[in-house]
Amino acid sequence: MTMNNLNHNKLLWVLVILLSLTALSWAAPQLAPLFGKTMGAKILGALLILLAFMKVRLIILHFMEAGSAYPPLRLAFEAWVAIAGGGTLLLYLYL
Amino acid sequence: MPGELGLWIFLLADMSIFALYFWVFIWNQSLHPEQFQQGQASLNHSLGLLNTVILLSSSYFAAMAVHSARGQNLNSFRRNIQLTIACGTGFLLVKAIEYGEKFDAGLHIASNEFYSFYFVFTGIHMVHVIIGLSLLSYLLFSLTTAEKIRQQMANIEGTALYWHMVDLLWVVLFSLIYLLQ
Repeated sequence: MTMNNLNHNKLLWVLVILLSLTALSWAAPQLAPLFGKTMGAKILGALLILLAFMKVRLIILHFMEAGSAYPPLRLAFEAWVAIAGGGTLLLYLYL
Repeated sequence: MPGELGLWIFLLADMSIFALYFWVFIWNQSLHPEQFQQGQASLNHSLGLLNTVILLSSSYFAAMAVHSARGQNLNSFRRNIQLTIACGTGFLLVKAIEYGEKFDAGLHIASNEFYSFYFVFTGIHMVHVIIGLSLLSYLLFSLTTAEKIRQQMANIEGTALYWHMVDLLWVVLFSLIYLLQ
C-alpha cells in the first residue's frame, strides 16, 4: 500500500468518525430522560459540547494537519480547543 | 507545515472571535432560557443536520484535494475541489431554504434575542462560506496544469485550511444553536 493510499484511508476514517459523532449528538436528546428532567438536560448539554469540541479537535489535527505541524503551532490550536471548549462547558454548567 | 504561518495566526484569531460568540450565546441562553428553548424548538433540525454532514464531507474532499495536489494528480485535485465547491454551494442552498422558512413564519433578526443570535452568528458564518467558495473557485479556474499546482501549493493548502476552519466553526454552532438545551 502506498503512502498516498494510507493518507486517503486515514482521512476517510476521520470522516467516518466525525459523521458517527454527529449521529451520536443527534441521538443524544433521546437519552436525556434516563437521567431525570433537569439533570438529564444538563448532562446531555455537557455531552453535546464535549462531542462538538472532540470533532473540532479531529478536524484540526487530521484535516488541517496541525498534528504534524511544528509543536508551538499544534500547542496553540490545542490550547484554543481547551479554552474555547472548556470555557463553553463551564459557562453552560455554572450559569 | 501546510500553508503559511501568517495564515495560521489569522485562523487562530478568527476562531478566537468565534469562541467569544459561543460564550456570549451561552451567557444569553442562561438569561433567557424559555425564549432560547422555544427558538431552538422552532428551528429545522433536519436541515441543520444535513448542513453539518455536507460541511464535514466538504472538508474531507478539501483534504483529499491537498493530498492529490502534493501527488501532482491534476484530475483528482480538480475533482476534489469540484466536490468541495458542490458541498459548499449545497450548504448555502440549504441555509437559504432555512432562512426562507423563518421569513415566511414572520421571524427575523429583531424577533427576539434567540433569533438575533441565530441570524447574526449563522450569517457571519455564511460570509465565511462565501469567501471560502470564492477562493476554491479561484483555485479551480486558475490551476489547470500540474505545473501550476506545484507553483501554487501554498495557496492550495491555505485555502483548504481556511475551509476546514469554516467547517469546524459550523460544528460548534450547530451543537450550540440547534441541539443544546
